[in-house]
Parts: sequence; structure tokens; C-alpha cells
Amino acid sequence: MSYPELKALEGDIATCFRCSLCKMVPLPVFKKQEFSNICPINSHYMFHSYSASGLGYMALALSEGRIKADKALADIVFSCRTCGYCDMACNFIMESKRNEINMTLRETLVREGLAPAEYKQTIQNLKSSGNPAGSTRTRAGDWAAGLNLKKLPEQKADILLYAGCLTRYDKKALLSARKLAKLLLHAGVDVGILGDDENCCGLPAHWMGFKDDFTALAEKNASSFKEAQIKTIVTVCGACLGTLKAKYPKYGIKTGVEVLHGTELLERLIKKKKIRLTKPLNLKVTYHDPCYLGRQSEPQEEWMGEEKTVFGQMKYTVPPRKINYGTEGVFNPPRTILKSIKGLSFREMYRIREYSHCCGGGGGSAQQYEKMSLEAAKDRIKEAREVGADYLVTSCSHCKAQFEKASSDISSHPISVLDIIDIVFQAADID
Amino acid sequence: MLTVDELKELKDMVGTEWVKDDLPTRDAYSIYYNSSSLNKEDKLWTARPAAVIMPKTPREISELTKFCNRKDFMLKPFSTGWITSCAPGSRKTILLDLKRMDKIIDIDVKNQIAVVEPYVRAIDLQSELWKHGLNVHAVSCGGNHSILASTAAAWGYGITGASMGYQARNMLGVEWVMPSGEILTLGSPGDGAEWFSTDGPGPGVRGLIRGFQGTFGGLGTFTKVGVKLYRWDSDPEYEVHGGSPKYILNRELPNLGVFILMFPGKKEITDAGYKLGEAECNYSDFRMPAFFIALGFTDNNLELKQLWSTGVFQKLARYVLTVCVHGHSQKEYQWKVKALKQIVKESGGLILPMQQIPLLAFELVKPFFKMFKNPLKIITKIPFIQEITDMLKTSEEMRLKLFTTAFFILVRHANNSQGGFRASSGMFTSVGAFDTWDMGFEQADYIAGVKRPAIEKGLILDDGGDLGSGGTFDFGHLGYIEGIGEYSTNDPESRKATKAIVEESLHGTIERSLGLPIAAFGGPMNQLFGPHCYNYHEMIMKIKEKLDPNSSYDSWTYSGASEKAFADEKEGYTFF
Ligand SMILES: Cc1cc2nc3c(=O)[nH]c(=O)nc-3n(C[C@H](O)[C@H](O)[C@H](O)COP(=O)(O)OP(=O)(O)OC[C@H]3O[C@@H](n4cnc5c(N)ncnc54)[C@H](O)[C@@H]3O)c2cc1C
Ligand code: SF4
Ligand code: SF4
Repeated sequence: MSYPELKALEGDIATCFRCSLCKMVPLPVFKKQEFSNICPINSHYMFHSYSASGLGYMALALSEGRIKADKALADIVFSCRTCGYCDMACNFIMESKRNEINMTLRETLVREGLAPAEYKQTIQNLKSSGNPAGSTRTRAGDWAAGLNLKKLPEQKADILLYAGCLTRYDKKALLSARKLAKLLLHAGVDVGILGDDENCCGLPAHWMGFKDDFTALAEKNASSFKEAQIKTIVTVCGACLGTLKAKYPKYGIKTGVEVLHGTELLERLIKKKKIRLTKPLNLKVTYHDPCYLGRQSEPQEEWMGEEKTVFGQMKYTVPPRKINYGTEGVFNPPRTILKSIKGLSFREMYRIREYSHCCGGGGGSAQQYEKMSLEAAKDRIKEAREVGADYLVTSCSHCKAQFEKASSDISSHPISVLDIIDIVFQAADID
Repeated sequence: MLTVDELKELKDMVGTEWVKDDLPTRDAYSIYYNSSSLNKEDKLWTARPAAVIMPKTPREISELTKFCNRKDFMLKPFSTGWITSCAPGSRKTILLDLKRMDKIIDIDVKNQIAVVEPYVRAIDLQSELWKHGLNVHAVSCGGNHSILASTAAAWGYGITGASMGYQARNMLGVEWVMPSGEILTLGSPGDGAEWFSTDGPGPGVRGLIRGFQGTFGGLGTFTKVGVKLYRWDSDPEYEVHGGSPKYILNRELPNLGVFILMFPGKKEITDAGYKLGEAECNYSDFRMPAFFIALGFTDNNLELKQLWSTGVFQKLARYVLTVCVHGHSQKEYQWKVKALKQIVKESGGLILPMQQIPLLAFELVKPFFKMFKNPLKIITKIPFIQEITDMLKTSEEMRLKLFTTAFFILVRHANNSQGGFRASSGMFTSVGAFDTWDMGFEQADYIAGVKRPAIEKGLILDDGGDLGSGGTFDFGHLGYIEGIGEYSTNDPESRKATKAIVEESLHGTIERSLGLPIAAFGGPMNQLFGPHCYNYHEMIMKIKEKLDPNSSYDSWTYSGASEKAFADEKEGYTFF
């Protein structure tokens, strides 16, 4: 069996020299052994196969025909949370393609029909109901009932507020979306929604490795954005932001629209004093950077240049190709907002920004990975507790749901989990 | 290869989830740093291990060892699994990945000893130690290596060796699962800890298990090590700003300074090295080859190409020593800096200002440098040149940036590997012996010559030839400079050329009496070097025979291919 997509990456795989830096925080920012490991699958399963380096070597073995595409391989590969840390960590050392190698391996196994049954079911759900969780009695636009938001494309608005499927179908999460809508309306923003026509952004299909389903959804969404004639999309959920902003272009889908996360717009509105955070909140909080709002939302720059060789073996590019370090994600707006709330005490965790620790919730959920996935979240909660926080604030519906689930499972150091929008709403003191 | 019953037996010893014998996992453990050097077909693959096991306790390792004494399998333990010598030498080898053994067991502040398990990385320990005003020697590959491995099992040369010595000397105590399965404790892990065992009379057991290079996993498993600590009289922690790949310190650390010293020739740099050691003012030092300096000045390979092409670095930066000065107090620090300045002056060197020089400046001075063979010889003769240089104003931001870079290399071991891998995808090492500081430069010159034909054919990176990296040890009593080169891991011709360079240099080392190189370990290398070095290879064979009569440990990196290995696995190799 030959796998041309993997074959094309063999040279990039070979550059891995097994330093294991993709399992830990970048050395210059290292503070403490207990909170130094980052790759959630490696922290749990420990074996090297459960790491970007190990996944790469197994991809090479598969490409060279040393091993078969089988369940043993699939069990390892689909455990990866697609958090993207390894890519950022390896780029610290060299221009690498760890993310691409991980995803190509996963996509290869999906084509071989080896994805876990739960992943396949999710795709079925997406196809049949547009909701990865399956059909519900609520409709896609129900979350905004009574808010009097403009309905696109029938009506026109500058900004499309994109709730995302986890947010709109989850009873608790949709409240955050409603609060964001109210804040925007309060600030006089011309905002509309797609209502029942809103689709899933496609992230579940992407991170589970169903490339064709992902691109099909992305294309559908791109055309509905075009039809709505909007200039800007504002997402409630961090995961949608990363998907629309970075993954669509990576897979060749251009929306031609500016994509912002709610916190980015809120920060601007607060700065312009359209929203005033007047109410003091006496909370000790820390902030969790979601992978897809953070490092994974940094788009890969399209590079049109020339690769040349000099000094015998040194490759260079003209103009220099930009390396993705993950530093251009949405990191500052949430922090600026939190720090501007009176009475609120903000403290940083050890693994932050581009080297944030994943909540464990990405990559697809299957029974067999639940323990590992929750362990990642529990480790994060422990870290939040360690820095003295009572509240773990985040800005992604996936992370929030994951932390809530994990926290209910911990008796020693549970934590209250909040969406940043809930805090802003409270501090803005509007109804 | 393992039968169902054998697998069950192993799983009963350590728990089912900690034994893996599936093919994908075994292949994930069949590639290591530069492992193509071990593959006859020039592939990356090493032998595929029979299984990979993650034990948690010495007792479990003892059981596993006894299993291999009974069966036709061998163990190969490792800590982080970074370097090629972790590779299985046979398809009958069961790898012991010791990642679950990651505890800092004790930090005995009074006696300056730390006791650690195998998967305690240098940076784990260093971060804890700084809180107690202590520090540990780390080797030059970076803070992500295992302290136990560099102390008890393999090599041990690092940048802080200037003041903290060769790591083998820092091994104060060890817990060792012997090839028989017995657990032996040696030395002491500090005050009030579990054991105190004297060594001797007679041949030292410490020498036997550590020796000069180490046993590389070929003679039992080390499960704890007591490592000697040194003082750290600066901040217990630091904060940074910026983002990957450039994290910048928020401020310089107290009692700590970094200096870039330039010398016009070999004699000047070696003299200075000895004197700095004599005055004990080099906490750590690193002979930075010109190409690496140019690399450090740039953000990408295009810039590097432009800078290196000016030819200025080749002439100006041939003999550069970066030095970290650290004082127990501010007063001592200032004394040391004064001594350093005096030594540099006396040795005919120059301390560079902490200044990032723009490309344009290099372009401007290029014609001047072209005119002279050794412009630095002229520059250093200019009266008051150091005083004039010292007057050059450097912005606070620039100082901090350069201080950070030097601090992360010389003290924190935080971007050492980052430094090496940008110019080309692979790095190889050839000669490089732990000997006198002078000898280091002889080796560097020699290897530059060996590399030359491959450089001229474009098969390896043209780094100017001399990429000798290293520094002084034990305050100048010893020195070590490794003959590094860069090649392309993806290019078979480049790999072939690299192999040939390493092979030639190993023989050349003997012909020219250039000391016992880093690659001198394992059967074929021992056979090559042993006869020139007190027949140490015979002693190693005897030790192995006596202590491991049943070949319970895979010894390809120690005494040579194991008895148990398959016939096709018993051939030689060139390691880089
Ligand atoms: C890029 C690079 C640069 C390097 N530069 C240097 C250098 O400048 N100076 C230097 O001294 N070394 C250097 N090394 C070699 C080596 O990695 C170090 O010596 C290091 O100290 C070993 O730590 P490790 O984490 O790599 O150990 P590992 O890679 O885990 O093991 C190293 C060796 O020790 C054995 N071993 C490990 N743990 C045990 C144990 N518990 N019991 C028995 N045997 C064990 C293994 O079998 C293996 O042979 C370099 C390596 C690389 C990859
Ligand atoms: S993937 Fe990159 S960071 Fe990870 S081990 Fe390989 S080289 Fe190191
Ligand atoms: S994407 Fe995340 S979970 Fe997957 S290998 Fe990389 S660091 Fe580990």
C-alpha cells in the first residue's frame, strides 16, 4: 500500500532528532517540573509513540511499509488531541511540519476506515443534522430567541455573530452567546446572525481527520458568508475562531472576511468606552488559552518565493518564509479585559499563551481516550489552583465544557469555570 | 518474538499498560538522533526492539533483569532516549524507558548533594536548586537531558564544566540494578539518606561502573544518583517577556555577567583560558566557532548567508570565548570581572561590547578585513583599544537581548540545540577528546582539514571548517573541543560524506595522538582505541564477562555486540 501524502513528508519526518522538547514547555520559560509537561497524550500514556516525534516515526514506518495501517496504530494516532503544541515547540528549534505530519497520518487512517466508531458517528451527525452531537429538538437559531438580532442574509449587518454548534446547543454555553450579543447591541454594533442557517464550522471533522468532510463544510460556510455580504465574523467560541481564521485557508478555502473572536471586539469596545466595566468583581482568576484561539489561530502565511541552497547544504528562502511560532494567536485581548476589571485579581499559570496546556477536549472524543482527556483538564485545574485562582476563565466552549466535566470529578481541588464573556457581562452591569 | 507466556510474565512484573509489544510502538523506538549511522542501508532505522517497558521501581527493574538472565532477551535502559546510544542493538533487546522514574528524591542543601531518578531533566533539577542557592552541572546538549544519565551512564561534558568539572566526577552516590538483578548502593546520597557504602579497598567500583565514558546502558540500570552540587548566588527565578523563539529576560541577574572575548590567535585564547581558570573567574565558558556566532547574530538563513558572505566573521571571530562570570557576592563578582579584564588585556584579547552590529557595518568594514590576514592582530595593538571599545554606548534593550542569549546558553542550557539545527538539518560530531585546552584547538584544526574536501564538494555545510565547540574544564586543568559539522539528514550523499569524515577522523586521531574521542565506546571503537590506551578494551570485556555472564544487558554501546544478538547484528558501526 502506498501513501503519497506521507511519502511527501518523509524528509520532514527525518529532521526530528528525538530531543523531546515537544513534550515540555520551551526551556527558556521553564519554571517548575510539576507544570512543565505539555503534550497531553505523552503525559498520560508516557510512551514515546504518544508524542509528535513518535507519531512522525510511525508515519514513516507506515509510508515505508514497515507497519500496516491497523487498529494498533489507529489507537495511538487518534489519541492525539491536535492541540498543536508540538508544532510550535519544534519550530522553536527548526522550521518543522509536525502538525502537518500528525494530521496527514490521521487523515490517512481515516481513509483506511480506521477512525474510532465515535468519530465516525460524529461525522454522520454532522452530515445529517449539521450538529456533531446529533439532532436535537432545538433549532440552530433558537439560542438567540427574543434578542431581536438581524437575520442574515435576508437582512444586512456589518458583523456576523457566529455562535458555533457547541455553544448554541448547550443550555449553559448559549447563555454566554446571548450575553455577547447583548453587549454588542448595548455598544451599538451592527450585528446579525445566520440563525437556523448557521452551520458547524467543521472543526470536529478537521481534528478527527475527515479532511473531505471538513473541506465540504468549509466551502458551504464560505459561500454562505459571501451571500450574507458581511465584512467581519465575530465568534463566540475560540475553537471556531481558529478554524475559520487559520484552518480554512490552510485547506485552501478563502472566506475573504475578517475573523475576530468576541474578546477582540470587546477589547476594542471597552477601549472606545462603548462598554464600561463599572462593577467591581472580587474574584481571583486565571486564564486558560484555548489551543484554537491561541497558537492554532495563527494563520500560515502564503509564501511565494524561492528556496535556494548555499554553503553546500544550507537552505534559505527568498523572501524568508515565516515560521509559525504560535505567538500571533489571540492572547492579549482576554488578559487586557480581565486586568481592566476593578477588584479582580488576575494571576498567570505556568503554561500560557503559545505554550498553553491543552484542556484535553480537542481531537475527537472516544470512550477509550476519556481518562487521558480528563486527566489533561484536571492537571490544568490543579495548575490554576496552584497559582491561587478560584476561577478558571476561558473563552472556548469546548474548553469550558471540558473543565466543568473534569472539575465535577475532582473532590480535592475543584474550581469554578467561567467564560470570559460572563465576566465582562457582569462587570459591565447591563441587563 | 516474545511468547504469550513471556509477555504475561513481563506484564505481571510492571503492570499490563506498561509493556508494549505492538509494532507501531516498537517502530517509534527504532529511530534516534543520527541513527542512520547504525543502519547498513543508510535508513534511519535501528534494530526493532522486542518490546518497550516502562518500569517504576528498582525492584521491578531487578525482576526484569532476572527475566533476561533466564531468557534469550536483553535489556537496554535509557532515561530520556535522546542520543543514539539508547538504541537497541538487537531484535532481542527489550527497551527500558525510565520516564516514569522522575522524582527529585532529595536536595541536601548542607552537603550540596541532590538525589534524583533517571527522568529528572537538568532543567527540572536546576530550577529547584536555584531556590536553595545551588546549581548542577549540565551537559551541552541542553537542559532537557537526564542528569542521572550524564552523571552515571554517559559522557558528561558541559559548558559549566569550567567551574563544575566533568560530570563523572560529580557522581557521589548511585543505586545500581546490577546485571545479575541484585541492587547495589554505592557512595552516599547525602545526610540522613538511605545508604552509605564506602568504595574499596581495591579497584574502585565507581570507576568500574562509570569509568571515563560510561557504560551506556550496557551494564545494568542506574536507578538513583547522588550528584554533587555547586553554589548559585543569583536570583532563584527569573521572568521573561517576548515570545517564541525569542524570550527576553526582564532584567539582568545579579552577581552574573557575560562577556564575549576575542583573540587574534590560538596562543592568545589558550593562554587566556588557563589564566581565567587559575583566577577561578569563569563560572562557565564556551569556545564559540565563528559560524555559530554569525548564526546567533541572525534570525534566518537568508540573513546568515548575507552576514557570513561578508567574510568578516571568518577573520574576526576565529578565536572567541564567551564567558560567564559569577560571584558569591557583588564584591567578589566585581573582583572577578576586574581579573577577567586584566587577563584579556595581558593575553592580547579584546572584550566585545554587548552590541548587535547591523549587516551594513559588516559590509562597510569588509574591504579593510580583506586587506589583512589577521585584522584582529592589528586591532588589538591599537593603544587603548579596549578603553575605546568600552566607551561604545549600548542601549539597555540591546544589552538585555545579548545578555539573555548568552545566559540561556552559558547558564540555563536553554537554547543549545536551537543554536545548532537552523543552518542544516543534522549535526555530527567527530573527534573531540577530554584533554588539555590546547589539544582542543589542535583537534579543531585537524577536523577542519578532514572536512575540507566534503565542504568543497558541497556535501556538508561550509561552516568555514572549524566548528569546534567546547570550553575549559576544572578551571583550566582540562579542555574539550568537539569537532562538529553540519550535514543534511535528507541527502544520502551528505550522510555518506559525514560517515566518511567521522571514520577518517577516528583513525587520524590515533595517528596524531589527539586523545580518546567522544565516539570511543562500544565494541569496534574500543578495539580501535584500546590498544593505544592501556588496552582498556580488554578490561571492559572482562568486567562485562564477570558481571553479566548471561548477557542480560545489551552491550553494543559498551563492550560490543552481545552474545545473544543475531549474527547480522554483530557488525561494526560508525557513530556520529
Ligand atoms: C545534540 C546533542 C548534543 C550533545 N552534546 C553533548 C555534550 O556536549 N556533552 C556530553 O557529555 N554529551 C552530549 N550529548 C550526549 C548525551 O545526550 C548526553 O551525554 C546526556 O548526558 C545523556 O542524557 P540523555 O538525556 O541524552 O540520556 P539518554 O539519551 O537517555 O541516555 C544516554 C545513554 O546513557 C544510558 N542510560 C541512560 N539512563 C540510564 C540508566 N538509568 N541506567 C543505565 N544506563 C542509562 C543510555 O542507554 C544511553 O546509552 C549530546 C547529545 C545530543 C543529542
Ligand atoms: S518533533 Fe521536534 S521537538 Fe519533538 S523530538 Fe522531534 S525534533 Fe524534538
Ligand atoms: S498535537 Fe498536542 S496532543 Fe498531539 S502530539 Fe502534538 S502536543 Fe501531543
